Amino acid sequence: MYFNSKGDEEVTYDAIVVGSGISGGWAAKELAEKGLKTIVLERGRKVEHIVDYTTASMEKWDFKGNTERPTQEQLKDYEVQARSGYTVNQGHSHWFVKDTEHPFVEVKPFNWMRGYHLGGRSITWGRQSYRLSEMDFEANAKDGTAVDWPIRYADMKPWYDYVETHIGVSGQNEGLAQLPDGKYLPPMEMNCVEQKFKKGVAGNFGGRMVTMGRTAHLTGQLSHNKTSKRGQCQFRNRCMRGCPYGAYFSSLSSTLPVAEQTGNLTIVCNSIVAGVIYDPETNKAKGVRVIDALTKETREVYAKIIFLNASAIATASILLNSKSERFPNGLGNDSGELGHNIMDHHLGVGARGEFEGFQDKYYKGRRPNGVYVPRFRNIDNASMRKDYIRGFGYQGGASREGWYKVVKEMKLGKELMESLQTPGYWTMGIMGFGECLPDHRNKMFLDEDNLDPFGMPMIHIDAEWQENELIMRNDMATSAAEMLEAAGAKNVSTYETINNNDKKNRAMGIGIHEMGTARMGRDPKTSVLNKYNQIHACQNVYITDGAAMTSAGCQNPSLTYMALTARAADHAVSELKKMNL
Amino acid sequence: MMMNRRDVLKTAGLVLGYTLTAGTAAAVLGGCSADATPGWSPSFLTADQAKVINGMAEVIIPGTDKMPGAKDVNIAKFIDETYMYYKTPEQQQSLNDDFKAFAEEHDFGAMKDGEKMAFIKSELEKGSKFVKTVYEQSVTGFCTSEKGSKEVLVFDPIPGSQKGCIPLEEVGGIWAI
Ligand SMILES: Cc1cc2nc3c(=O)[nH]c(=O)nc-3n(C[C@H](O)[C@H](O)[C@H](O)COP(=O)(O)OP(=O)(O)OC[C@H]3O[C@@H](n4cnc5c(N)ncnc54)[C@H](O)[C@@H]3O)c2cc1C
Ligand code: SF4
Repeated sequence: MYFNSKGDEEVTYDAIVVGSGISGGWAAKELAEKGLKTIVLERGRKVEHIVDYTTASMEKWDFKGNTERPTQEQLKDYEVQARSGYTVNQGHSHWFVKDTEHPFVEVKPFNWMRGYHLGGRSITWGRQSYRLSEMDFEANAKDGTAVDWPIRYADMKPWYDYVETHIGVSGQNEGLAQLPDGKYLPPMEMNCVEQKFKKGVAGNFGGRMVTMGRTAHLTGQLSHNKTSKRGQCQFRNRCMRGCPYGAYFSSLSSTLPVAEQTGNLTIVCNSIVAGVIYDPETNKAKGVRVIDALTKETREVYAKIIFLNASAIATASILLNSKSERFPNGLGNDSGELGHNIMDHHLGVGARGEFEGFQDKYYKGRRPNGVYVPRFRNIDNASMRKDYIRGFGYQGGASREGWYKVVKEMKLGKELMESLQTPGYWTMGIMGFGECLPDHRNKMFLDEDNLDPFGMPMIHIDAEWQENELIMRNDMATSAAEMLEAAGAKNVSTYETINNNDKKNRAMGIGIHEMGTARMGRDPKTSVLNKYNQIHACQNVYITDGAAMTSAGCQNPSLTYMALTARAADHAVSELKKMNL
Repeated sequence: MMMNRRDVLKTAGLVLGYTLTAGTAAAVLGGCSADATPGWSPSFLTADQAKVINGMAEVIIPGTDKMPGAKDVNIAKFIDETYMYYKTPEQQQSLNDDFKAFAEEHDFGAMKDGEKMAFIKSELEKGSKFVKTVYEQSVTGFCTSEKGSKEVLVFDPIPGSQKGCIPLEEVGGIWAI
């Protein structure tokens, strides 16, 4: 079809997709479905859906000492990855890189949490899926921060509809301007205390909303039958180990199988893309340089279009490492913004409390989801704050104390046996997810004199929470406590884990939503990508992972990466057809 | 000894677990069971320490005529593994020190059955670090064991559906997981 020249046939495709995670899987699906011969180059090992979810059905007692928590021996390999406190354990540490094998330099503490394997972090993600709103796309322009998004909600709406319909998102439409409705499967259920909280918050804060978390799980039938790999959620809440029912969205359950069925897809694992090859004659990219992760040999792969979906930091590092006469500071870096404006979401701040009553009530099913309090600050005149801009949402939930209560009660003997028959009191906690502003000072860069074990210049990350984030956090703690108290909670306490420089494990990156390193914008002088996610000055390279984000919103971002990807793929294929690329 | 421990540590990352030897149903119902883990010997603890721990655990979690107790799950094995694989050298040292201090003052094995409960209670109230550790670890080990999870708590590995708010009696106990 689109071969460049005879000799290069076996390494020449219509499209290259770099990375097979949440956004790469989407690029592969869309491009292959639209008829392009597509190769996915994935840095990590091959993973087979279900077969390789080796820990999926293990119970606590199947692990030494009845716990899946990481052994001391394991922790030695996962210094950064383990900082979250929940990502590294025997149930799923194999989905995270060993920091000892994949080092980077923390100029300031930065929690770069990632997994190199087919499917990327689509296997381990928390599946919370929220749309950005018009408010979010307008925000930079309105408050004069960084640069304006080149798109608005209307550009994205059909693509949010499209990706939600394919992946299946469970949730409740609420008609909020700050959190647009979507195409949802039935919502999961709130428990009794969460319902009480919802009423209390609405009643005491002028209708402030508490809704069910929107999450990429099948709680009903998908409206399409494109992949046979999806089943209904069984409420085991062991998703991070990989789901044997294919009940949540991952590249392996949802996008890659559809791409494969087209017959247009080639996946090559253990392929580290080191750089993009720029062709000065055509002013386009002609392919990528690949390092074999096992043999360290290098080779080249060519295509008409290239989608970079290696995740924000890795994608920016590939571009920074793609130097040419035309682009001496890295491909697409005319603006000097490449690698800058790293954002994340700041969390680890909120409140918890105890609820009396409901002693005769309980719940069933380990709901892999919580409740969500959509943003309520700086959304209209009445909610404007003087001390900070933008806002935050909360995720949380209520539960009854389990067996551990007997330890607190210091029960012994017969009394202990009796106490083990009834769950304890109800507690509820909510944690804020706050917006982080794009800030040129927050950056990453490469050090060419210092190579990583694969011969790539070492990635350096130099970023930290800035003033607006830190100020917002006071309100995030106070508002959480106020809401719990108003809803009737007792013994309410707040927690704050960031405003303390010693705490490496709460440094930027801890939201695992790193983004913004190759932002979209209207002006090539101040941004890397145009409104279709093309590099301004090298238009057959598309970047649709978190690197593209111009601002962060406070919503979990991956759904937006998916929608941006599907939209960009549609654009790329129509441009190809028009012979514009 | 040191070499041995290191070798075991090397294999700790393997996800293959072990299976507890289940006592026969008759033994459980009869309130007595054979050794829960025949042939087991501790790696971190000494045999004597394991015996003291199991002795205390059996008082803390006696079981009932219908439910298993500590004697059915080998709490010492749980604590042995916990300290072997998950605790830092400092934490390991501290348990050994606490154990030593405790053993210098008390001979738990020599106490009469009738005295043991009152002893543990008073030690907990006094804030004895060693007894508190054994207490917490025993409850944790028991409630996370297969028998504790399935026969004392309510275990439902594949719920299949989710209900937010139901009468407690529909569950009839504490969810194990
Ligand atoms: C524990 C956890 C919870 C999360 N919860 C949520 C949530 O609830 N909601 C939400 O929206 N987001 C969540 N996230 C974030 C989400 O996982 C990421 O935003 C998302 O996966 C990013 O998609 P991506 O395609 O950019 O990258 P990834 O999914 O990370 O995939 C990148 C892929 O590229 C490969 N790669 C990297 N470098 C190269 C290279 N040089 N050459 C070739 N391949 C390369 C990697 O191996 C990987 O497979 C969570 C993440 C984690 C870890
Ligand atoms: S809770 Fe649902 S999605 Fe998660 S592992 Fe269980 S069945 Fe799969």
